[in-house]
Amino acid sequence: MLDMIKKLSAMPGVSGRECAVRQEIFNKAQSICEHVKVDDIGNVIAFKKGKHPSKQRVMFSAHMDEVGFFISYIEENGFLRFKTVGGIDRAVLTGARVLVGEKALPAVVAARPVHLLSKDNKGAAPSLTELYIYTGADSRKEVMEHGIMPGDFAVFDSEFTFFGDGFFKGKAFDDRAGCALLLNLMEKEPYYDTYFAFTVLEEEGLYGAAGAAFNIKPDIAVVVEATTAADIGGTAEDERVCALRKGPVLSFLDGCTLYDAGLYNTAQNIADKNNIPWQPKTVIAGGNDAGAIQASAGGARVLAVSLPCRYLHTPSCVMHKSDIDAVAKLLDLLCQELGGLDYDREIAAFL
Amino acid sequence: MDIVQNLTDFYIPCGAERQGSEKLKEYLSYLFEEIRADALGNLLCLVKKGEPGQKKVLLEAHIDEVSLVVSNIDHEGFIHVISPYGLDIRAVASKEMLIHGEEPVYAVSSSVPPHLKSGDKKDEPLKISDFVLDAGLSKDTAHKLVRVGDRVTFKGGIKPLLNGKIAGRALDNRAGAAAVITAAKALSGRQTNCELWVLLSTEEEAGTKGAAAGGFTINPDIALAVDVSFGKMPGVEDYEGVALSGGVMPGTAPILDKELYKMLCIAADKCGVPFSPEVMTGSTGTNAASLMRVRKGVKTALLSIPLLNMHTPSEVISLSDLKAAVNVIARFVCML
Repeated sequence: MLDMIKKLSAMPGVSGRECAVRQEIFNKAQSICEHVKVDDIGNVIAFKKGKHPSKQRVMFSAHMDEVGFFISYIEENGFLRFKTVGGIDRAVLTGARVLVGEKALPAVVAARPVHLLSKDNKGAAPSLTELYIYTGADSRKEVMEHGIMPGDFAVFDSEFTFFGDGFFKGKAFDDRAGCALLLNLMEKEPYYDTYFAFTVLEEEGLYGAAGAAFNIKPDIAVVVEATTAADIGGTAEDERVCALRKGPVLSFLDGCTLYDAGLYNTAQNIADKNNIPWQPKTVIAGGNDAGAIQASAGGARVLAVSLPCRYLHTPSCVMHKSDIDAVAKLLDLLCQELGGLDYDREIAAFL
Repeated sequence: MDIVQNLTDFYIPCGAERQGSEKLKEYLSYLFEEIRADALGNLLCLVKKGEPGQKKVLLEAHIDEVSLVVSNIDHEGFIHVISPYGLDIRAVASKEMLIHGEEPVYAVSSSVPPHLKSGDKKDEPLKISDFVLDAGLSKDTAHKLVRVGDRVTFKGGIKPLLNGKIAGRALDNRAGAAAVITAAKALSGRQTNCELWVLLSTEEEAGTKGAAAGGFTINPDIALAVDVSFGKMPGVEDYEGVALSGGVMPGTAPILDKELYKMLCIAADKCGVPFSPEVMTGSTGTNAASLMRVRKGVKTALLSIPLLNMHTPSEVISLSDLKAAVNVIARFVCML
């Protein structure tokens, strides 16, 4: 599975430009599932028949897109102005490496040199209007001769690397790691019929998932995500959100969603019963596709199972192998059980 | 210009250059008649012996690169650093780093998570204490592999960009070193009127220390420091920098010798190389300041190569500027 994370995360797939990732996932899903299709806005939707029909229609989702850049303007001297896509902190941009466009042209993010800044300003992250992508081309004409146009995308240039004691680093683990976990789950024989959605445009504001959910009309949706882990030296305990090596992160609340309390408990119980470590998300921040799925197509119960990830939305996302294994195990169990839950009867009794 | 690529394969962190400079010495040994390292890790290289009465000329470039210094290993194994050498703090977040202990240790530099930077804190200038190095090690292992005082550099080699540009760490000043070494190699077979030395100096980023010591030992009559300066980009004015591929920058300043400056300009002109004078005051921020004050004082010149993103892991130069510098240096020496 780490191979798949490596492969998928290396691909470019800025929001709205998920083509390469979609192709890879579509091909892989097609070799595993009965039904796979790409919907009108680019989500990949797959159905895998289980040994039994399910009582609840269950959907697992992960988003294919990553944060990145759109080239917005080419200066006369060849420097590229850009806009960020998704939540990129401009403090990680000075001196960053990027790959521009389909041809993946290597480039750097350039800023006025620190030596020329006033003393008080030396540590201040430049604003986006003070940062440029530089490809080496010396004029607008040369840039365009290399096929770069306004509207082209750029992604972080960052090699997948193992380091330390079971950690690995790369770009776009948010949420290619989730995509890899879904593909892994898909390969198992599910007990119940199961739907899978690989969504577009999450980082741009949850624009893709609602469409996928509308198509599938799930009763239960499990969003598999990467979430920010601030378990970094010097950060106070109560500001850490979650930590690496402590297993799946279960959310009861985030910036976009009040999660279904019953599902939250069910997931905890399954994890506890099977000795899978898990942790709650302890800071109310960020959000994910659950926020869009929850209210789509008449509503769905939502659960988020997240992978803790340090330095999210930077060129150097860091994850730990043990968390991948633990999340995979929990997803497998959820896939075996959620389809058999008795929610309908509950509602019927109430009515 | 493979040489500049090869030179950046060496990690020579400012303040702890000995190990890297020793390796570089091995690599360069075939090029020079004589090469030796001194107490500071400077490499003193004799290009060609002169006749009695001939002037001694020194071509100098610094080989150290900006570094951080390990100040603490905390109870979770995160490594804390200080930044004494002018590394661009704005470029620290989320980069690959190498800690130069007995064996190099890979680490990722942290970034401040967005939820900890809300409101007023968003625009606060970054301090080096906002970052830690994440080597993915337990406290015990970290203590075994890393010690307080170890130097830390950015990690990575050269990557070619379009149109003969290259990007990488430590091009400040391996670019200058590559120019000096290549020019010296060309000159070793040519008729000149001088004894020629190359000094690859250390501790430039710590206040131009190595050049003072190495300059003393070589004791030249004339010195040329070769370094990098600011490349032009949007936000850098015409009077602050020169566009990449725009040629070399002969320096002029009160402390620099006026005749030698003119000779650099003439040499550039004769080589057909575009050049833009770089006018400075004070120390010039280069080793020229140390060389000029060696022993009884030395006539000193300065030639710079334009560079983008100074003191970041993504410095950029143009190979055409590097080639121009080589030609100008060689021509300049022949004119002496």
